Amino acid sequence: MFTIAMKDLALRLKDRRSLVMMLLMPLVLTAILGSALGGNFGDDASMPATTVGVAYDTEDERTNQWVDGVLPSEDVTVVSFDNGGEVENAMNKGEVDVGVLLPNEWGEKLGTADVTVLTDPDKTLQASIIESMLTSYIDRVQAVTETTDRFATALAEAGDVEVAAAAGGFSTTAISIAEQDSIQLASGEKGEQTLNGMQYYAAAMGVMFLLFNATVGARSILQERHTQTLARLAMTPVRSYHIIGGKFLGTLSFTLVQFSLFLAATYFMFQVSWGENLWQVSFIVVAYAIAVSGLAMMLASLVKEEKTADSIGGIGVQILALLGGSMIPVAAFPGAIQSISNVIPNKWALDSFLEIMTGTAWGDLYMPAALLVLFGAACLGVGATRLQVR
Amino acid sequence: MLQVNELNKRYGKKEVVKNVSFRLEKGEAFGLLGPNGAGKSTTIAMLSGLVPNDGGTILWGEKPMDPSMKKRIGIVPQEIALYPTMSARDNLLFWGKMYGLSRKQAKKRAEEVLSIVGLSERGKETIETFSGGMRRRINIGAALMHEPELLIMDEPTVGIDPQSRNHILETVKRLNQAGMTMIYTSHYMEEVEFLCDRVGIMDYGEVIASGTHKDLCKRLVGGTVIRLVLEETNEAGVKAIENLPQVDRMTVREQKTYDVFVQQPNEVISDIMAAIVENGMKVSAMDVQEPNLEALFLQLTGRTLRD
Ligand SMILES: Nc1ncnc2c1ncn2[C@@H]1O[C@H](COP(=O)(O)OP(=O)(O)O)[C@@H](O)[C@H]1O
Ligand SMILES: [Mg+2]
Repeated sequence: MFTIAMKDLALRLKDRRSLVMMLLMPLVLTAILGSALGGNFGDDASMPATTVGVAYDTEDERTNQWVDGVLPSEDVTVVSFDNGGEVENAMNKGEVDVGVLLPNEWGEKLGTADVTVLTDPDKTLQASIIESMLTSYIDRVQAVTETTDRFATALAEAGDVEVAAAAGGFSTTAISIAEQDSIQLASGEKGEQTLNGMQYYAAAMGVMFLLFNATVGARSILQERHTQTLARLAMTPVRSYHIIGGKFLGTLSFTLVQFSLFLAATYFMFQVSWGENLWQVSFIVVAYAIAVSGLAMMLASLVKEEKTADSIGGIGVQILALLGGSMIPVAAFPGAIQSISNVIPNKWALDSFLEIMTGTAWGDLYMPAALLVLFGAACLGVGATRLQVR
Repeated sequence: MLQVNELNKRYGKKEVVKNVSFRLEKGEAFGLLGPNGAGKSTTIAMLSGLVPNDGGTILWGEKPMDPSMKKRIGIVPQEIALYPTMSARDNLLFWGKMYGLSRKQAKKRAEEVLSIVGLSERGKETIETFSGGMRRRINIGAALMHEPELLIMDEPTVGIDPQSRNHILETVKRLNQAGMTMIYTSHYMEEVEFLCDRVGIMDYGEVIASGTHKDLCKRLVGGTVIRLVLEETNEAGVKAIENLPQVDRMTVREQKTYDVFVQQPNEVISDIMAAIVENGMKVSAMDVQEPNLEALFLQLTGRTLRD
C-alpha cells in the first residue's frame, strides 16, 4: 500500500506541469490578489455619509459594476444621472455631495484622464475620498490584468499550453475578483485579530488549489486503468483494498506536501501569518486532504475517460471554489447561495483556516474537521465499491 | 502442474470463452494460437484471477487456484502495463515489491532481469524514451522479478519490428530451456511453432484443436504441400498427378502453379516427376512446404489467422 502511495507521490513530484499548476499558480495568484486588494480587510476608514451623483451613458459591464457594485456602501449612496448637467443641478440643490462624470466606454479604457469629479467647496474631503476610491479601483484592476496577462504569456511562451489555458481562466477570475469591492471583503473578518488581504487569499488559494487534487488523483487512477497497470496490479498478490488505499494515500500525501510547501512559501515570501497554532492548521489540512482524496476516488469511479475527469474537475473546482469563498468571501453572496455554500467542504476548510489565522479555540475546529473526514470517508466508500480495474 | 477444465466466460449473451480445457506439465511451454478476438486474453484474465469465470475449474497441482497462488505466477499483459515516466529499473523495482520482494531483493533481482532482457545499460532511462521493442522487453521483465514458477505471456511481441521480436523470442526460448513453465499466446503461427511444445488452437472462444506440433500436423489432410510451377502443362498430366495414390488433393494456385497435398513428400516426389515426364510436361520450379499450423487453421476454419 505504501509502495503504491510513494510511487504516486514520486510520479507527481516529477511532473513539471502539475507542479507549476499546483504550486506556482496559487502562489502567483495569492501574490496578485493579496497585494492588489491589499490593506486590512477590516480597516475600513470611516467617512462621512456621502451621496455621489454619477453621470454615465455607457452600458459596458465594468462601468455598471463600479457604479452599482463597488462604489455604494454603508456610507456611500449612489444616484445615477444621464448627463453632467443634471448632476450639477442636483449638487446646486444640495441633493448630491460629490459628482462623478464618466466618459463613454470608460470601463473599457479604464483611465482617469477623462473623468471629471465635481466638488462642492464645502465637501472637499468627501470628494477626495471618492476620487481616491476611483483611482485605487482603476489601479487594482489594471495591476491584476497586467500581471495575470504577463503570467499567462510567460507560461504560453514556455510551451505549456494547457497550463497557460488554465492560467488564462484564472486571470479572468482574478480580474473579476479585483473588480469587486474590497470593502465587501471586510466580512471575511473574524475573531480577535483582523485579516489582511494577503492572509485571506493565501488561505483561499490554498484551499482552492488543494481541491485540484480531486481531479489529479482521479486522473491518476483513470490513467492507470487506461495503461492497464491497474489491471496488472490486480493480478499481483496485493489485495484490492490495499491498491485502493494506496491510490488514496498517494493523493493524500501529495496534497499534504503541496500544502506544506505552499504554507512555507506564503510565510517566507509574503509574510503571511497562518495564525498562532500550526497544530490547528495541520489538523484541518489533514481533514481537508482526506475529503479531497476521497473525492478523487469517487470521481475516478464515476467517469471513464481522463478528459471527462479533467473537464468535470476543472469546472467543478471553479464552481466549488467560487461557492466556497475562494474568489469572493461568501458573505458577499445572496442568502440562498450562502446556504448552498454552507454544505461545501472547501468552505468548511477555508472558514477554519481563517478562524485559525485570527485565533480560535480547538473546540470550534472539531465540527468542520469531523464533517470533512466524514465527507472524505463517504466518497472513498463510494469510490471503493464502484471502482473497476478495467 | 496446471489443469484447466471446461472454462467458460460470458459477457452479456456473448460467449467469449467456451469450454476451454488444457493441461500443462512442469517445464512445458504451451501455446494458445488464435486470431484476434478468439478469447485468448480473456482466458488469461481468468487464469490470473482478474476476471471471474462462469463455470469450469482451474487446478494448480491438485488444488483449485486461489489468490494465494498469484505469487507463483508471472503475467505479461498484452498492453505495456508500465509507468512511462518512471525509469526501467524503477518499474522493475515497483513490480518486484508488488510481488512481495524486499527492497534489497528487488534491487538485486532488477539487475538480473535487466540483463535477461538485454537492457542492462538502459536501466536508468524512462520507459517513454524506449522503442516499442524495448518497452515490450521490460514488460516481460516486470513479470520475471519474483521468479515465478509459471510465466503467462499474452501476445508479448505484438506491434514491434522483426529484430526486436526475434530478440524477445530468443529470450523466452532461453527461459523455457532453463526450466520455466509457460503459457504463450499469439496470433503468429511461427512464434508458437518456435517456442511451444504443445499448442491449443483457439477460435471464437473454443479450442478447436490441441496437441503437439506433430500431432496437429497429422490432422492436416495432406500435411505437406508440394508447390509445382510447370512450364508446359496438359490436362492428362495434371490428372495423372492428381490420381497418384499418395496424393490427397491438388489445387490450382495461379496459372501453371499447383499445390499438391501429400502426407509423406519423400515417397511421392519421384512419382510426380515420372508423371510429369511421361505426359510431356516441364517443371520450372518445385518447392516442398513443411506442414504448419497456419494451414491447419485454414483447413479447420476456412480463414487465415490474420483475417
Ligand atoms: N469486458 C468485456 N466486455 C465485453 N466483451 C469483451 C470484454 N472483454 C473481451 N470481450 C470480447 O471477448 C472476445 C475475446 O476477446 P479477447 O479475449 O481479448 O480475445 P484475444 O485476446 O484472443 O484477441 C472479443 O470479441 C471481445 O470483444
Ligand atoms: Mg488478446
